[in-house]
Amino acid sequence: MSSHYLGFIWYRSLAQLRSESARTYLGYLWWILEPLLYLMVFYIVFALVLNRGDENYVQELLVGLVVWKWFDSSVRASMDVIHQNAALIDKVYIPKIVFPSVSVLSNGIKFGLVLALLLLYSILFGSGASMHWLALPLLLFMQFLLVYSVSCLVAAITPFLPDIKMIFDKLMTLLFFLSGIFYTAESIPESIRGYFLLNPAFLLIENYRDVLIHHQWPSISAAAYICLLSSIVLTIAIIILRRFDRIYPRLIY
Amino acid sequence: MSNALIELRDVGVCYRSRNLFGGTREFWALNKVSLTLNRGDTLGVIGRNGVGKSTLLKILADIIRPDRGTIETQDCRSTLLSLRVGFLNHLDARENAIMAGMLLGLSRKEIESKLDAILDFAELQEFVNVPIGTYSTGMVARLGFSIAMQIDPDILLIDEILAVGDENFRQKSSQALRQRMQSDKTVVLVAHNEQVIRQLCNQVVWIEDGQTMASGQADTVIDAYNSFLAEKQAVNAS
Repeated sequence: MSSHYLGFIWYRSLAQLRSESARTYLGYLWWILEPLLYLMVFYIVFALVLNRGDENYVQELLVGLVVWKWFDSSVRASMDVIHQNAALIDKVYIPKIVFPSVSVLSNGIKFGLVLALLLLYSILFGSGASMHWLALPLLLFMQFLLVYSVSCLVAAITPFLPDIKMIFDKLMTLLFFLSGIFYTAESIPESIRGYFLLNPAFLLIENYRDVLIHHQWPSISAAAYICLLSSIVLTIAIIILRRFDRIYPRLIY
Repeated sequence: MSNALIELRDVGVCYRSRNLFGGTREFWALNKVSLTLNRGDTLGVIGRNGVGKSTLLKILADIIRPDRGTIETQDCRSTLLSLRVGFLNHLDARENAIMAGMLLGLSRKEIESKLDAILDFAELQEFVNVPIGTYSTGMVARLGFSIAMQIDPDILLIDEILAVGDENFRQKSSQALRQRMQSDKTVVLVAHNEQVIRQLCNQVVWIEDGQTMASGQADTVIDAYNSFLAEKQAVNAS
């Protein structure tokens, strides 16, 4: 992709965020309020109602939710993104990968803000900062790769099979429950824990907890696994998007 | 070296409709179209509704590729004139103009330097800071048209848009377009108005049912097309 389109992705992402906040009275405040409310819901259910967990539970829950959010919002936004831009695609050539890229970037910017708040929370009320936080760029890179690859893949497939959106939607819900967001690896029976470790989202969240809460370095094997798997998915997605770059305008009308 | 910017030979585009229970239906929007577009030409495309004129423009704009036939192009950028490329209703004219300009191939710096010219031409300077969602249809069209006029593609593709806005602006926009067509710019024009085609185009292609029926000198092709229409009408009447 040329630098011209990278510039466009950046401008379009910011424009979309501005456009979104222009639609509400509170505007940019929602960038913080919305995730806060989201976190509050899970806090009420799991920490208060179900009265789960030990001293670290709230922080573990928050890390899980915050990390999940970028993945969830980007992938869901990408499902329909080529179709939503049908009017544009019909008028001017644009590499279709631009659209999931905008979804990932605009949601990534929001995620960055929430992550900063999470770090602040960890320092003030959680387990505090440590030198292990230096591994954060690596975690962010892994996360970006995972989010971007799956977003591109769903964006590439749904125009051919619009019905599959329903399946993807439910799969995301399933994945939410399987990714250890409101529980940790230790709480899974050992007999089935191995299967959970195949889920890159699960591994990613566990790695974030290791670094942010348990003051450990991330697992290199998990990092390698996530990067490898994401790279394969991303390659497939890019091949599809490029191969059908000039077919997509004919699928949507 | 030949002067042809784009040469299409026997180009066909097939749309397939999908439905598990209805089977696949094939529809050839374009069947066998050939044309040559030379540098500096103003090429008119005529034909009845639904014969594939807009599909042809999409091929020339490199938005879609045909299923069969060959295209030979020289390295050139062709742009379809459209009145709202990627506009977001909640943003103002400036932001939308930058976005549209980038989509049409300008760098951010280039489009920013042309902003004033765009807003002046569109006569929207006093509405710069309001979201375009509050604009009237005509105002949005004026903005879109003014942006398009600042883009200078190698080939400009026009699908029936010959003027926009109110009476005053229609004259101004029509004049701007005519100026461009009469200069040595390369233009492809789809229009139903025969007078316009005769006036502006030096070459005309007539498409019927996805096929090139005739191409060449404007007057010759238009006359052939007219006698074809008259014949059709006579058949229908009897």
